Amino acid sequence: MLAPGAGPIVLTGITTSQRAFPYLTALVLVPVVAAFVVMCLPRRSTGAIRAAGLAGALGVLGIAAAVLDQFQAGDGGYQMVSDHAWVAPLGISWTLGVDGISLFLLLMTAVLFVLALLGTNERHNTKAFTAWMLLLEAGCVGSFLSLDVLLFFLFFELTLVPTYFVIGGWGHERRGYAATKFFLYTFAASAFMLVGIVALVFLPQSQTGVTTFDVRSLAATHLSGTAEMLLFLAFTAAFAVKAPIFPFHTWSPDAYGEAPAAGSVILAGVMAKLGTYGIVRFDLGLFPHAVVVIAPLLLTLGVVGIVYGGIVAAVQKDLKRLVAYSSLAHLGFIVVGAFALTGEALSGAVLQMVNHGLYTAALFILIAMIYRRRGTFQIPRLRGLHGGRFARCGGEALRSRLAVGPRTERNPARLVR
Amino acid sequence: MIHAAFLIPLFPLVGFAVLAPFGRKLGNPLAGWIATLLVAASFVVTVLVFVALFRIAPAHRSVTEPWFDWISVDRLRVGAGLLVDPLSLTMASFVTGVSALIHLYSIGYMRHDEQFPKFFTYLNLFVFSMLMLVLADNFVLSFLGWEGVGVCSYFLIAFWFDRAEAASAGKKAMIFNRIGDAGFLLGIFLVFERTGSVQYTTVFARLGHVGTPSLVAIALLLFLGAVGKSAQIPLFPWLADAMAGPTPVSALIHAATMVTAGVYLMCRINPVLHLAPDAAHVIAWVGVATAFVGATSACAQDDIKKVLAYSTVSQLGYMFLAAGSGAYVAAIFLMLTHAFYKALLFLGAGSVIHAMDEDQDIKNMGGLAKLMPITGVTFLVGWLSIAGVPPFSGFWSKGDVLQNAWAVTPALWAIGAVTAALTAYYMGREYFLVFQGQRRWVEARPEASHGPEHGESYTARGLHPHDPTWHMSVPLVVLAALAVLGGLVNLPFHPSLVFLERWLSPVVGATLLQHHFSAGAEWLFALVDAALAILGVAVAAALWRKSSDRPALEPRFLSMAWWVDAAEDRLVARTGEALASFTATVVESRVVDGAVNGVASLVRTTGERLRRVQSGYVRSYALGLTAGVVVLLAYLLVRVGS
Repeated sequence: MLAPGAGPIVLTGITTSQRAFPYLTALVLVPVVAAFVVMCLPRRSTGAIRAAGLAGALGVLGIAAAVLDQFQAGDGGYQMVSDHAWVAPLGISWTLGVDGISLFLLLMTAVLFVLALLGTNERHNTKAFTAWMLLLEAGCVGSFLSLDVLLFFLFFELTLVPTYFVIGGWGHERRGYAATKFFLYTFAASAFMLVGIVALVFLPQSQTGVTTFDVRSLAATHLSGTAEMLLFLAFTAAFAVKAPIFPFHTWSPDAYGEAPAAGSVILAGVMAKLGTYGIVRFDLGLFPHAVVVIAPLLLTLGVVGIVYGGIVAAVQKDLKRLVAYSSLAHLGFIVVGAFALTGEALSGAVLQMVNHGLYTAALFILIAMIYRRRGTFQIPRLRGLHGGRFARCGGEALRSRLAVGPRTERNPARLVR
Repeated sequence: MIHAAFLIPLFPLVGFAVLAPFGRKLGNPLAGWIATLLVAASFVVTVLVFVALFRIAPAHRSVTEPWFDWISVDRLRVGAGLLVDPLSLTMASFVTGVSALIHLYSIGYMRHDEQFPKFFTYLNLFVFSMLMLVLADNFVLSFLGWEGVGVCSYFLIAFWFDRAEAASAGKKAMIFNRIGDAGFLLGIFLVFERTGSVQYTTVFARLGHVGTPSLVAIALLLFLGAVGKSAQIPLFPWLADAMAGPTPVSALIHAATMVTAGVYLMCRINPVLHLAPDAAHVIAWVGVATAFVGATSACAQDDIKKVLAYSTVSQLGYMFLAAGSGAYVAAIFLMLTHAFYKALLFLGAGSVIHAMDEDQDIKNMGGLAKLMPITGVTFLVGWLSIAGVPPFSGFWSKGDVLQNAWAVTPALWAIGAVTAALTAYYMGREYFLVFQGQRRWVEARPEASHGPEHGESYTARGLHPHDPTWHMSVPLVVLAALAVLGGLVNLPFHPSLVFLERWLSPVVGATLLQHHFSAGAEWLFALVDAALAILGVAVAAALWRKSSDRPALEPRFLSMAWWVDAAEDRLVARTGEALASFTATVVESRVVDGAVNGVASLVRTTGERLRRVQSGYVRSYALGLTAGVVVLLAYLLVRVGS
């Protein structure tokens, strides 16, 4: 199902499903529409707002499930392509498509947004929160489906705005610092990609006379060695910060740590995958020669990230920062998988993207549950959570008892510790 | 009937799948009975498959039962399938048999625990994982079981998670095992890289094309895995701490089954060890060193379970000594008999701990033999077995190991023989302190007089040591019988009596270095072994029957297990933690993030400097404009003028 990524992704003809129901366009539009609905609802009716938000996310999940159903396994190309001219003179178009790599990331995104909206409960200003989350979903889904480089860039950047507000508006103590750092860091890195995109389109245009932003056509064009290398670096800058790859990760512990639970779930679960997906789709797809040259460097960064993230995670006292650093380590595996340039490794990388999304999201939701009951992320202040007692005792009155544990009370000496 | 082999791991898996969601509903004792019966069913199937395999001609006693394709990417093909051969079935039969008995025992032992159903959930998951480990037909599936038993071990050591020492003992076991697991994983990678397969039979068939250095590396990496799992030097300290778990867990996981997985792995890869004799020597020496260190440490422990824990470390060392000497049959023989007598000793200890109201200090016991006759007699049997007193099972199995060690080099034998005498001594010390002599618990109780709930006080008269319920007594008696008779499976006197050797020969026959001595030499070995065992017993009796206080015989460096744990804590754990803290606080915050914030503040300062220019005051702009115009005009005038 997954074509080995080293070669350019083969241009396949647009299938007949083009005229069928535009699943992929619907996937992007449904959350946008839901966001508008939420915005029109009165501020006070939190129940209706949450229901509308959830309905939007469930709608995406339903369509994503239909896409999975329609998907032809074994076909290496893009499927269910929607192609509409947008800025025709510049060759920019609304082109969406799905293949074996994006399919599972799409499904993971759909699942995680439902969980993020269900599993978290932002009490103040639910309306704005829900609307931002839905717009964020549209941005993420659009990024995974875009086959037009500029469209991808737009969606990729569009995710920043809702994330900034979600972190800044509903985060913990240092939310302002974290949100600003996140925004500036990723935005600065994306500037490189924008330059890269423009160059990527207009360099071949001077030879071929065709202006196109379509990733399938671009993959087939030929670039000179230096140009390819520079463009590769420009794209990789954006993806390396977004993923993040060591040493461009320092925004992530702050952002993951300060974001509200839903924000952390999406940041680590979905948005980190925008970076690694970008690597697989654009780096490997568009710059096959540069990739071979520079793979050792990125493999090294990936491995350093694995070890470094593990070491730093080992001494974190804050649960969320711990997961942030372990996430850095686990994303390193995806980087290594992508740049190992073998079929096994690439399919492992994609599998790890989905798995990492699911388990990291689960961890952040669980951490949020602990926080709601115990009011802290500090590991030294948490103990005895395992098992039924924790589940049964929510009340603060039992907290001191829980902290020591009923069983240890038999020996009074242990109470002192 | 062999096709039924898949039922062997399936039954405990079903038990886990039922108990995990519904255990609390089923409650106490129903959850325990379901778990026990499923494991017993698994044992019955194992016996039936065993019989079926026995009926096949010896040369064909290796049946692969493929299940499904598990991982299939490019060149890598991993199937889920079982390898039914004499080795895996021998393992499976004692694993299921001992497990069933310990499940039964646990119904009695855990009956007052509020987490009763959860205990059996973990226990069933453990049995499933252990069976996958031994029955898998490839390294990767075995590794899955290997990790599964590790996780269950963690859950069960930390079962009383609200006791600080249990929680940290669980973590410790996990971390020590991870070190070994890394070796196991790297070993599997190397196996795949060199042979292109991970399936045991295929790998062993292709070993001819692999160079000796690679074989040594494979053997040592897999041995590193075994060192972690089977608590050998230097990764043994976790096993002593693991005693914080409930006693049936110590008996099942940390004595009879899981910790022997490393020995199983070494026996499984016997074709590799055969081609890599250097690695085998390393294994033998690590084994004998661990046997000695474990035995000496056991001599100075005061906790009834810690004596047994170090004794397990020591006995596992003997098994590696055998495997490293190429005597795989002796290793399995000792593993089998050890499973019987060590499980028996642990269960006996559990029964004593219950009677002593959770006090585990042997210095506070004494004189229990009369009050707890079943426990006392069965414990005596266990002691004499492990001590190697004839005709108990340990005598035969340990004798087998020592003979084969002699065949490699007498130095190995000498250390092993000294350790054998020590074994008889330290177990004798434990037996006498617990079951004979003064009833020291009568005086020892008063200071431990805090009741668990209401502050009611126990007095010496409040403690009535007695034998446990039948759930607990039956396993003791069955295991005691097995500990007496276990030697029968492999008697050395005549070639027709070495049943185990003939049974295992299809698996290990080609590589077996089992040395056959003349009848006279055999008798001599047997006499020396018996003499050493009786010497140990006699010394223990002379020293500990009357007295419980001989500090000279319990030096601190032995009770601290040669300071290995403390040294590792100081050198590895603390250093590692300091380095990690340095990385997190200095490298991460100041260097990596510092660079990012540095760029940010550079931009900001530059911006702030430049901001002065854009003050917003029209007069300063006008001033600038005028100044510019003046400069420009001056320039033009000069140019034109010149």
